[in-house]
Amino acid sequence: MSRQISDLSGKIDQRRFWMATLAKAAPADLEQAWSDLGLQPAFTRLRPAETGLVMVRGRISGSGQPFNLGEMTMTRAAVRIENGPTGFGHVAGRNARHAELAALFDALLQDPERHAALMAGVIRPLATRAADEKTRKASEVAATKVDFFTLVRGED
Amino acid sequence: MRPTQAIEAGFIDPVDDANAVFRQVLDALAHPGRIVEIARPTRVPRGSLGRAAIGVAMALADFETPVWLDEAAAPAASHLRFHCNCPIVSKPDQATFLLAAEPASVPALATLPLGSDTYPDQGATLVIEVQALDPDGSLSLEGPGIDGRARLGVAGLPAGFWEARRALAALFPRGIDLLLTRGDLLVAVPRTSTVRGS
Repeated sequence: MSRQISDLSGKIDQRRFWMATLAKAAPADLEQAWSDLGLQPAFTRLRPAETGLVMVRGRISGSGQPFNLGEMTMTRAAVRIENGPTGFGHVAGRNARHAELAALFDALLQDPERHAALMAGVIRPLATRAADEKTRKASEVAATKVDFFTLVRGED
Repeated sequence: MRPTQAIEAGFIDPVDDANAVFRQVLDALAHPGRIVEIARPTRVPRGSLGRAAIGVAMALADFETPVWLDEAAAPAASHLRFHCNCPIVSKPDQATFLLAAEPASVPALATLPLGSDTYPDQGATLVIEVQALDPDGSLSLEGPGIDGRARLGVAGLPAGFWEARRALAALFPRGIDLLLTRGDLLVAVPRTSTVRGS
């Protein structure tokens, strides 16, 4: 990345991107990436992983009145690397280890010395993998697409 | 300084520890003047609040209870916001819980939320970190929960504090509940207690 992102909104977007990637990654992939890193940072569990419900809200067509779609289970965790930044992990489901790993990666990614290597070595591959999986599913679903044609009935 | 750095780990077992502290505070309020030891929260953020005061906040405060902190207790703000989800307010008259690490900074008692005759429960709870608590001091407490008379010594409260509290007695059931802490120790002086001496 040649462009220096200095403004706050850019930083927020960036962090949002890696947190989303970590949250949506398969727990097994994260576990693998974690052991491949070979890091054993000392850390404090500020908030041990805990599971709860969050209300998912939606808007019809993205612009209508907001409505409550329903509750979903999620797990969150917060850790602090010894003498370092605090990381947060919020994942869907009840996998406590997934939330903790996401929080650990989030903390490490905020460390300027480790950021670039982790983005290239962990986050980009995970994001690519997620995008590939999405494309594969989309093409699978596209094959079963049915187009409905409505005949004009000539009501006037 | 990164604002998140003041956050420390909270209760080891959030449910059991919060329940235990709640129970201890309940016991203290049921026996005004009795000094209880609250030792559940493991870490305390920087600032001058002790484990008992932080424990009370962590067990009782939530998103519906605005918390006011005096200047000396201000470093605990992000810790409490993180663990309790409580709003931190700068105006004492908007707070449900007031935590003062420096007794001299306690706002005038009559300006705090005292509740109403219909809803006396809306009166504020004032937590003050004092210099010393003594089970055999110059104060004499009487009222519900006390068999006869209880003695208590509190060091560090500003002059005129107990007079100001006595002045609120006429407003009963409106009033404020006092929790005095010193490190791990806590003593409750609810609004039902009559305090003599100073």
